[in-house]
Amino acid sequence: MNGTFRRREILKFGGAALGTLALPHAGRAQASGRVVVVGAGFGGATCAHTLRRIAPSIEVTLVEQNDSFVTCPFSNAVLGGLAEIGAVTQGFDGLRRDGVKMVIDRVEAIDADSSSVRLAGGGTLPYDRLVLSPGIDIKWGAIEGYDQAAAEMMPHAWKAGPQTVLLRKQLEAMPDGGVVVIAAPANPFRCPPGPYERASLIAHYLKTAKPRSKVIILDAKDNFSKQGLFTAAWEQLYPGLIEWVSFAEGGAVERVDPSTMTIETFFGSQKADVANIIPPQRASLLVDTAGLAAGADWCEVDGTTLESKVVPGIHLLGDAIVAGDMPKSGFSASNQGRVCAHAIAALLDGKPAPSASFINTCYSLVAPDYGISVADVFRVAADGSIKKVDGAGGVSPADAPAQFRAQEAEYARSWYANLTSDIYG
Amino acid sequence: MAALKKWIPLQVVLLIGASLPLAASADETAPTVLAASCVACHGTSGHSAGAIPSLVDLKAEEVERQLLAFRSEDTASTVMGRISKGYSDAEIAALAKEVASWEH
Repeated sequence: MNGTFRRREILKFGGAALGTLALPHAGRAQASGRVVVVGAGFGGATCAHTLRRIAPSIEVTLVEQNDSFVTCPFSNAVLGGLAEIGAVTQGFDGLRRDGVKMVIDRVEAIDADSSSVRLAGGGTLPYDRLVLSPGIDIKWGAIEGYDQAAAEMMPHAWKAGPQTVLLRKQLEAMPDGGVVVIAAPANPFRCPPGPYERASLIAHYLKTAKPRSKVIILDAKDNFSKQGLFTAAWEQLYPGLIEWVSFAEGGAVERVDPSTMTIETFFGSQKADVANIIPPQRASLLVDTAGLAAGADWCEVDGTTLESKVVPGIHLLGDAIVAGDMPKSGFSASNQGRVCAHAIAALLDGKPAPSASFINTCYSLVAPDYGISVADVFRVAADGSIKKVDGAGGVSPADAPAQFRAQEAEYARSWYANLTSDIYG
Repeated sequence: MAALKKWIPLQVVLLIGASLPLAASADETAPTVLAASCVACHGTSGHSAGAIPSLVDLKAEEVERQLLAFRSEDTASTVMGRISKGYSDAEIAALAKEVASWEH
């Protein structure tokens, strides 16, 4: 006990003394420097605008290859005919108003040795700290026959945008009595409840417009996020309309043939009128230009600073990282962006990064008036990994009345409006 | 008596520590970092569009009382009961002060 106290005393005095030496002027927002952020999704855009708000003397450049960002959250509502693609498309004027310098270009490579990124357009951006929020890339070929050309026939729609619009058009063109197949990947992948929300909202559309049709989920897993809630809701809202085939029942997709619209599993083959193949994923290939995934699919980071464990000075956010207990969600990415911004502001000011605290709150719509959620709180363990706080969090109650589900559906819409308006203005 | 002798120097250390600008950083989460999570659902500076309640013009005591009531489930909620269980009394008090200090 005594020993512990002594160590704490030393740490306190040691830390304070160092800080005083390193910091002639105390106070907030003294940090300055150049931060380059890559990717204007939930993680990157949140980090960029948060940095501008908490440390206005830091110069923040945000590089994004598209001139707008189509959000995966609520893109399933587009597939279900509940929203237009424009409703999930975010522009960058709000970020510009916050003083973020937007560069619409593609990053070709990261040069950690010279602390700069090289742009496809020819320019080079030097940085003091680099933040990458690059999202996922599809592992083409992981399912035999599923390449970029196949995705034009059998869309993944797991990056929202033209793929979402394509899948919606296919659903609209499908005759009544058609079969929609959704292939869901093994863990980990972007948005764990996403395939099941998608099945729900497609079923909602079919129930209304094409009631003799069917949705079959071919799954590479034996269980999935919010499973009990989804299954109960399907029995109530869409009886006989959604069929889920688990891994044990032969659900894992091995091969596809777009020319015959055939999907083959280990146990047999399935013809589809519309096929939505959600393939295995990995961190964006951009991270490999600096070896940030160290040969793996995802990047390891320190939970407090979100700094790469491989290359110092580079921070990573969102779907591209191993975030311990945090799921790959837009909300997680955004929360990591806030924490990372506070860490960078402190580090550029010569201070230690503050302790981190995270929340993830994700809603899924099962129907327009039926929402379910998962909410968790996370802290950083001594080994730097992000851990769920025991005794907190969880999913919506199993036995909730219709009013509760309706309220969570309203909250889901409000969640989207508030999160995107905070990030994109 | 022996225990008290050990206790006094520690308190002195903590008091000195509290007055230094960097003392809090390594051990406890700064209120600004804790509260950064709130705006994702409740909107910038607590201004919410739609059904999620706004957090504007609230006194720190009200926010604290509400969070404690969510945590004990004396007040029914959808997600706030689940979320508030992730925070200590001290963190809830700090969060409440931070939320009440937001400029509107």
